[in-house]
Amino acid sequence: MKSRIKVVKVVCLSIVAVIALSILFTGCNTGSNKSSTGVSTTQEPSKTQETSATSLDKNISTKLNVQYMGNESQKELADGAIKKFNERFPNVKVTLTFSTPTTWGQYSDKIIALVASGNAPDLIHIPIEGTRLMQSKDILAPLDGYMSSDPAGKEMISDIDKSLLDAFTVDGKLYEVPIDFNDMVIFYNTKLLKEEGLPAPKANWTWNEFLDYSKKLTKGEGDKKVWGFGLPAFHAGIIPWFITSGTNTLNADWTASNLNDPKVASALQFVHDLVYVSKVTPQPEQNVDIYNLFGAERMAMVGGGMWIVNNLHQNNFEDWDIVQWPQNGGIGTDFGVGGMAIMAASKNKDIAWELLKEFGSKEFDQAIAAMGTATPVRRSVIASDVFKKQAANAELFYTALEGATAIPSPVNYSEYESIFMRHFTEIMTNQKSAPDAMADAHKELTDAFAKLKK
Amino acid sequence: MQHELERGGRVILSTNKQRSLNKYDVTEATAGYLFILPTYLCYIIFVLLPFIAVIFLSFTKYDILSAPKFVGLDNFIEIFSDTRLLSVIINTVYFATFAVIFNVLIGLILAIMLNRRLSPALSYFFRLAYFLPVIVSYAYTSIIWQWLFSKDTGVVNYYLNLIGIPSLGWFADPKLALNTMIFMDVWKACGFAMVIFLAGLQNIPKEYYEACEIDGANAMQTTLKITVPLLTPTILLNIIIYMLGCLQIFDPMNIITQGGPGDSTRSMVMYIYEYGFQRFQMGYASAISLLFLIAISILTAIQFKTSKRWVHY
Repeated sequence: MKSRIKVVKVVCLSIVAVIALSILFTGCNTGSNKSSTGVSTTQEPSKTQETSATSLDKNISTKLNVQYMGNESQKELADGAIKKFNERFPNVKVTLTFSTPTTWGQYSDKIIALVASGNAPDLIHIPIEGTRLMQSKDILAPLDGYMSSDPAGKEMISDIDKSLLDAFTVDGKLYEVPIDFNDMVIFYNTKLLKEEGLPAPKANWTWNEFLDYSKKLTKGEGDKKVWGFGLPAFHAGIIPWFITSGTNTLNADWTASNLNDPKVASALQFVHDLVYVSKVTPQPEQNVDIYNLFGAERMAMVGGGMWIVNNLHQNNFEDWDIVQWPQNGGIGTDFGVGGMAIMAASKNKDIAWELLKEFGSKEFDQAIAAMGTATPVRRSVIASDVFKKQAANAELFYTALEGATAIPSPVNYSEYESIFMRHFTEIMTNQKSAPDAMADAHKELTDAFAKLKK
Repeated sequence: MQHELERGGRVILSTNKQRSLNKYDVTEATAGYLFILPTYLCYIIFVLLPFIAVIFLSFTKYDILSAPKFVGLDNFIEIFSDTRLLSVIINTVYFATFAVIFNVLIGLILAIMLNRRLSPALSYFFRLAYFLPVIVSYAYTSIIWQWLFSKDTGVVNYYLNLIGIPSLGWFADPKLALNTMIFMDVWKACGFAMVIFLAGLQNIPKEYYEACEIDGANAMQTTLKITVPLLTPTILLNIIIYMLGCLQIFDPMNIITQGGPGDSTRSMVMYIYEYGFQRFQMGYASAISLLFLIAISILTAIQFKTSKRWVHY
């Protein structure tokens, strides 16, 4: 009998041990990425193969996993692209995993966690903020082979602005096909400007002129208060102040901090003074939705991009126009771009490319243009009435790309953004002066970049 | 002679003549193991293995995409030169201390007030009213509080302005933001302490109160001499529950201020999250987690140890 008891004990303990060990080993991802098909595809950089178009059997039967970020309307767009793809490849089962909008940085973090957990999709919607990190870890497959060998790829290259393609090109290889972008411009309330007797701002207006407009447009008290300007107090919204000062947060190849440039602190001092000296904008807080306040005519001007246009239309607010970011020795603005990439771990790269072509198609871009939540990437769509009817001056969203700079997106984007934004809030809450905060941020960021090289 | 198990599992020496385990005993033992197996598996999967992983990772450099590299004690050494960590620890301790004190104190006062003779309808109404915030997610309440306490566009400052008080940066002023967080936490969570105290109050024999009444004790004396001493086990329970919860606070800070302005509302868990899932320095995040776990364990042990002096069982 005692032996039977022992047997029961041993069996139970063995089960626990086996399960525990299996979890331990399967749970610890040590760099090998699994595709949706579960095939381990650890790749050395030198082994990352160039992808190229091949002829595919229309009746091919397989599965594709797609990761996409957007709102409900954008989900419909993605569903539409998949439906069109399934008309060509009816036996390919596509599973779309949709993420509702957070920030692009948070979305990128989520994707990286997903890849690390061994659940990498085949096709992925990823912004420029996540491109360098993923490329550095060989998570993305280069697309040059497809782009050069497939007529659809060549057609995309000819129709998409070079700056958008360059944003996704690392070490001479293209890793994503741009599908939409946003650049920062100034939205202004035409009615409020008219009431104050102010003409529409000129394309090359200066910071001083902008400040003058902001002061004149700030009026009223309490629930009648109208702010002259709504400050976009997020990373992409702050960068234009640097670009128009002829500087930026990082060096040109995004490998070192440039926060010790006096122009950076000087630009931030100007932004700080908009709140505390000229008092033309409320103190930035998480909940101050400047775009709703602009739509409610509580803000006369606001810095933003195409993504707010849809909301303005939905709220039947049409008394607005856009103009370039004001200048201060430098010109331009920043832009962020979203694209579709094929995962290096995907076992179905060729069929994933066929689906990617739907997301990069003119029809998909036209649907983006019609929705008004991002700027389409194709010149041919920009010239179409679908896009032009979004705003009186809609083409500016595209032409502003000329001279625009991509959002600084280093390999350690999340870390960089968190360091910069933390010190930015110190300035905006008077905890530190702009030069002191940027000196601290520069030191912290320099240390962070140094750690990357270890 | 052979070893044999009694029902209780005690090993005894017995001879072949003594009673041996029958088929029923074996079945019962097997059933027992099978019943506890799911619990043990959950414990192993969700507690033990992650805990072992944290210990292992704390000695490595791990960015979740590459294989971990052993770095010895580097992560622990880095902790001592991390100036941000000190301010985060201070924030967390400050928040936990005052949030626990006010949650338990206000919960106790509410419970004593509601334990009086009220009409059932009124009693249920007040209990529900005070407990309702507990069951509402921080995701909802945080957004409401954001709008109420915004500096330049908030409702509270609007009314303060009407009576001549200048706008306060409830969440925007680094000196005020953490206190507003404590205020919000107490509003949301004190109802839980109230419910636990109400249950504790039911266990105090009515005879004690009758004796007090006969002796001419007033309400305050009865509360301080009878109610509070007899509630000390419940007070200890609430303090431990709240202390553990408050030290691990994450949601409201992450939603409302994202730890800002600067680091003024950043908690330990937020800091660990930042290093683990934003900076992808899982090794350093694990090292901080490990020290945090040890600190919480020591604190809880101290609470139990010192409770012998003031808790009356």
